[in-house]
Amino acid sequence: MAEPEEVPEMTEEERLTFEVKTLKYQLGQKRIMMSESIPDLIKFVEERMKTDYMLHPPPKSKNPWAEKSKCVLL
Amino acid sequence: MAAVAAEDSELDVDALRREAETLRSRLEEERRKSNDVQLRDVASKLEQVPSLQMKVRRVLKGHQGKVLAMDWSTDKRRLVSSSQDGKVIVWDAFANKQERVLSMPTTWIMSCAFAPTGDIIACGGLDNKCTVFPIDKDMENPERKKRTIAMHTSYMSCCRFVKSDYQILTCSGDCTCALWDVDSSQLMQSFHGHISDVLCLDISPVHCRTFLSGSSDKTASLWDIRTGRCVHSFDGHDGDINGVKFFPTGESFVTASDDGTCRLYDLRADREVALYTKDCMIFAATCVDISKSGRLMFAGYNDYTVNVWDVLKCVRVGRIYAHDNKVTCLQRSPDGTAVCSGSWDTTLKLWA
Repeated sequence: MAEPEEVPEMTEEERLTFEVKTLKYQLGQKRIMMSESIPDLIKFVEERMKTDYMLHPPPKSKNPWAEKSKCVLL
Repeated sequence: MAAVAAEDSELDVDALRREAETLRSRLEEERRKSNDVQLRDVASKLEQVPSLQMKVRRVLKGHQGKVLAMDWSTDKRRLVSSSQDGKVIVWDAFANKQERVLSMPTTWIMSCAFAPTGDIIACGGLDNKCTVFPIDKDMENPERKKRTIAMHTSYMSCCRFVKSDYQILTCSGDCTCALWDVDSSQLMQSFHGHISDVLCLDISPVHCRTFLSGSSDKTASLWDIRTGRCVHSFDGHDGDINGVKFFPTGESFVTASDDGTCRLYDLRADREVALYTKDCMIFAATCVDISKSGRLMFAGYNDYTVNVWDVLKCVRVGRIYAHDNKVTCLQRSPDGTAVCSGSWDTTLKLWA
């Protein structure tokens, strides 16, 4: 079984170099405005709400967790 | 000469520190620019959600200690839970039956996971390892066939299978996350960047090429699984991030934190979008999940409750007095019909 590589202790300089590189990469990521992102989020949710069982519980016959009927046919 | 070299090195470190500071300020500035509307304002014209009809449907009793973690099987009826008492239990939740009880040599099993096929479970915690057990129907004695497939240098806080039974992602108190091949136990990729314990992870529901991590350094990060690169990093929380969960779109995610709040972050706008809290809420939020449509968010807290939030309108729509002790884990079933919660009160409960 392979052991994880011992993470070499980074010097402060190495750690900061890595951090600067990561930050430059993150800064270069494309960003969109909330006014574009939020309506997409809302649309996604609204399209799926009708079939969300936590908002609209299924009828007892279709609800796998509902108690079975208390009456038993003899 | 050595003194000069040391001085040069110090200057380099100072220069790097300043550069990092400048970059962070610029990142903050760019994120502020995308904040042109508020979610709760745009959502104010939406109808209120119907009142919650959820009741407790099953109480799974069997653990002798605090329940620390659980994971649903893809078959939607089984789940696995792990506890401080060193036991891992596979339940048939429909029938409220224990299918298997596995004993680990150590206590505090902080995470457990069901493989997609349902034939393997993984678990680990204070032992710093991730161990897998085969539990297919014909397996007589899973404990004899267990294998250690991952080792960290501190506790393992979370483990999850990545799309198949063959790869597992782990995160740890050693500040790293790691990707492991299950068959060979080889480390395939490690993820460095957090400066404190990594407490939780979630894999993208859309394509499994990225995953989220939450840490006690109060940041949540998005990682590229293949390259190991940290693609986004978000601060904002004032406490450890105990739970992190992708939104069904894969383009947003929610977090639960020691600061008592949950937050929604958007990856495309690269910023925090909403905050879910009330003045009176001072107890840590420990776990979080979202209903299938994304409209409702369920979060478990140290005040023994599960709060239900309207994700879009940013208001609480339900409060479940779920357990007799801290709620430690919570997960919606794969078909969206139920939520399972686990607690220090040693039980798991199903709500539907």
